[in-house]
Amino acid sequence: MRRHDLDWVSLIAGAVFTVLALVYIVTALTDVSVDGRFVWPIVLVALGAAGVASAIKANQREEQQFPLEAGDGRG
Amino acid sequence: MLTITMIPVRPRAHIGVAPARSTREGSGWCQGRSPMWEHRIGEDGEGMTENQPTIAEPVDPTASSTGAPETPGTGTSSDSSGPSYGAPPPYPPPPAYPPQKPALRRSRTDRVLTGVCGGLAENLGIDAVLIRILVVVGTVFTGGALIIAYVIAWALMPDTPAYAVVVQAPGYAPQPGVPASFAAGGTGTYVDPATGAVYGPPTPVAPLPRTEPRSYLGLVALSAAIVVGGIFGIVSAAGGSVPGAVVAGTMLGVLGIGLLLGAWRGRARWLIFPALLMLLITQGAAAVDDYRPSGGAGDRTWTPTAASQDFQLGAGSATLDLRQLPPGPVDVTVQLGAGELIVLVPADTEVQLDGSIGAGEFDFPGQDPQSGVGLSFTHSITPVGGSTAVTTVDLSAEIGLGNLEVRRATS
Repeated sequence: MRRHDLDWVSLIAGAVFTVLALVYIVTALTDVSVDGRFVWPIVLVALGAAGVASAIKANQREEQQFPLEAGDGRG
Repeated sequence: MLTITMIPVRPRAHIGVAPARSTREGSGWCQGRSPMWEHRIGEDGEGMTENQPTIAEPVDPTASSTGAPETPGTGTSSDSSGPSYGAPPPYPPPPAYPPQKPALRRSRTDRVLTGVCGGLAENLGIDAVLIRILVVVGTVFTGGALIIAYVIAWALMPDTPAYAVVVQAPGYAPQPGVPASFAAGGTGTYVDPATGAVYGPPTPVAPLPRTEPRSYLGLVALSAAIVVGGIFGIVSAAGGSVPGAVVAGTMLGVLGIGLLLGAWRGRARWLIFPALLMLLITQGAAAVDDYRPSGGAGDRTWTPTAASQDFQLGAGSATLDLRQLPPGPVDVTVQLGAGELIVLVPADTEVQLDGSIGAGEFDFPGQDPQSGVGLSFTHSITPVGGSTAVTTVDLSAEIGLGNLEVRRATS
């Protein structure tokens, strides 16, 4: 597999899912319990933040590749 | 012999690789950017190159639309044997293309997860970041229901083709290999006698090779997760005891590791969707594991008659009928792993209800049903008509995955 620039969406999503998997495995094997009400909001916030951050980064990269011209109405 | 030809030079984005990119660039074109026209000069065809700076006599553009085309062999531009090419070939006027709304496709260039938001933004002509923010906020406020809409959109919206397309129709690009000819009205092709290049209508552009090799990381991770689940299944079938949350959690962990690897190598963002599904399964399995009720599986009807009774069911549908209870205080406890519990309460009975549901819904008389994950409740059901309760039930209900419904018994 070819190495590429850091993909924040994959990184954050992977970290969230891996941590949640470990939490559920630990709680299943011990007496520790987890409050499921917080799981989905955390997942949504993390994925949404990753998506927005990735979009902003892509937008910056695009503007570097295609700089604005004088009089260009973009923006 | 001096030859003057008029070669329009395309704006940068005249040919776009993908509609996403061409939307912005192309919109500039559509909004009134005129193509730049380059005058080219050459003598006997020598020294003519495509982008050579030029000096030229101004030519009336209107002549191109009315001038009669010249034919090969009569001193026209397409006659490569003759030293003279006659008058400059007609050229088409600058095209005025109406703005075109991009098709509703998943974007290939403005993509975070699947390109749904990017494609929608291109179609609507607004910033994709705004769409994404709305999706995230909407998802939170709809309790995750918008994710279903997103998945449906992902399934319905076609992907943008991964090859270059001619966005506008110009015919200004050199098209070697196209038979030389002049068409009436100056919209035909023109052969450069010096270089052999042919300028004419566009021909379909062959698909470009993928700029990025297909990544099998996601497929490998998903397959590995399935294999892990299968191994746990074999262990369980062989007599081992593995909690369901451990099985599902391990599979979720494999998907998470696949995503983590994809942050640096390969591409595996689509694993987010199976991971979300696996997270839901893991939560359900954990909720069932927490209660670990015995009592097997199937349909049950419980009719307590003593002052204190416990009922358990692993999986299935259970009905708790409180109509046979003796007068006075009664204590009833119910544990249900997965399924549905219906409680029938007679009119002269007061019930003090408390308990929890790992994932599911509860529906009590006189209030709207509530659903979700990690539900806990405390509810009081008083006798009908405000009469004095003959029987007072302290009911505790623990449900892993499923529904609880409390009904007033008719008799």
